[in-house]
Amino acid sequence: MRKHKISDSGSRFGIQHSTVHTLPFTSQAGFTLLEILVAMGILMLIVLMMATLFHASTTAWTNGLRQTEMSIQARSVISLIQRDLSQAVVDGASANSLLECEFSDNKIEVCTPVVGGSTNRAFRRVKYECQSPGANGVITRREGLISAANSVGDYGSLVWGTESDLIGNVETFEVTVPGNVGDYTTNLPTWVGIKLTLTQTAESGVGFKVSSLGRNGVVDNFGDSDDDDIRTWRE
Amino acid sequence: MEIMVVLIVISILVGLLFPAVLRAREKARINRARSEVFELQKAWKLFSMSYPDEDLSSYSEMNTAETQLLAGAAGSGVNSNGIAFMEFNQEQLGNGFKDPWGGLYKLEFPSSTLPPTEWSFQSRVQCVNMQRYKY
Repeated sequence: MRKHKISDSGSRFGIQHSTVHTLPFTSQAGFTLLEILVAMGILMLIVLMMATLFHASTTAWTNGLRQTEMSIQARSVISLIQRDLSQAVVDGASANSLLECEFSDNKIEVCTPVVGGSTNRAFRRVKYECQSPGANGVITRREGLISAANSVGDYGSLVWGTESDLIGNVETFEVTVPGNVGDYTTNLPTWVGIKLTLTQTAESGVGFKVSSLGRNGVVDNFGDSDDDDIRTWRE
Repeated sequence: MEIMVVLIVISILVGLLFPAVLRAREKARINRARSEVFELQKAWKLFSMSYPDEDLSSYSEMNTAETQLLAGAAGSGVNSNGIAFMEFNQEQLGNGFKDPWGGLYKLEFPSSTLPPTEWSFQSRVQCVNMQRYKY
C-alpha cells in the first residue's frame, strides 16, 4: 500500500514520489492552489499600488490645471492694467478734476486719451478696483467717457459705463508708486508697481465625512460606551 | 401533560431564538448603514469632482434638498448638469435619505481641506506719457 501513497514525507505537493508514470516528465505539470494564491496576492498588491498612484496623479493634475488657469487669468488682468497705465495722461494745463489720476492700494484710476472718433480730445477714464479684498475679493474694471472739451480746461461731463468683474479670489491688490500714493493727482508717477495675490481654492474631495448616528440618534465620540455611530472615517 | 411539556419546550426554544433574531436584525441594520455611508461618501466625492468649485461645507445632513441634488433631480440647483451620482427611491427623494433607524445621514464636508495656497503676480509699468497732457 505504501507504494501508492502519493503524499509521502518530503513531497508535500505529491509530485516527486508519484508512482503514476503515464505522462513522461510530469514533475511540474501544473500550478498548485498555493502557487495560484500567492500569484494572485502579488497581483492584487500591484494593482492596489497602481490605483493609489493613479488617484494621486489625478489630484496633482487637477491642482496643476488650476494653477495654470489662475496664472493665465492673473497675467491677462495685469496686461490689461498695463495697457491702460502706459497710455495714462493728466491735464497739466488746467488741472481739471475730471482728468486727475488716483493710486492707492486696491485702486487705480487714470485717464487715457481716446484716439479717433468725431469728438476731439475726449478722454476715457478707467478705474480698476478690488472690491472686498480677502477671501472673496474681486477686481472690477469700469470705464467712463469724458466728452470733448469746449475750451481750455473745460471738459464735458463724465459718463460711467457698467462695471465688469475681471478676476475673483483676490487676496490683495497692491499698488506701489515712487514716493507716496497721495503725491499723484495732477501728475503721473514714472512707474506703477502692481502686485496681485490670488488664493487658490483648496483641493476638493478629500476629508469628506459621512455618518449615521445609529440607534440612539445622537452624535457620539470615539470610545464612548454608547458609541453606535457608523462613520466613513476612523479616529 | 404531554402538551404542557411540548409547550414549555417550544417556549424555551422561542425564548432562546428571539434575542438571536433581534441581534441578527440589528447587525443587518448596521451593515446596511455601513455600506450606505460609504456609498454616499463615494457619490459626494464624484459630485465634488464634477463641480470642483462648489462649496459643500454647508451641507450637514441628507435632507430632501441634498438628496435631490445628489440624484440630479430636475431643478436641483447647483447640480446643473443633472448628473445622477446615486440612485434614490421616491420616498428618499421626498423625505431625505435616512439610515435604518430613521435618522438622516450626517454629512461633514470641509470648506477647504488643504490651507488655500496664495499666488502672487507682480508687474511694474512705466507711465510713458508721464509728461502732462497739454490742451
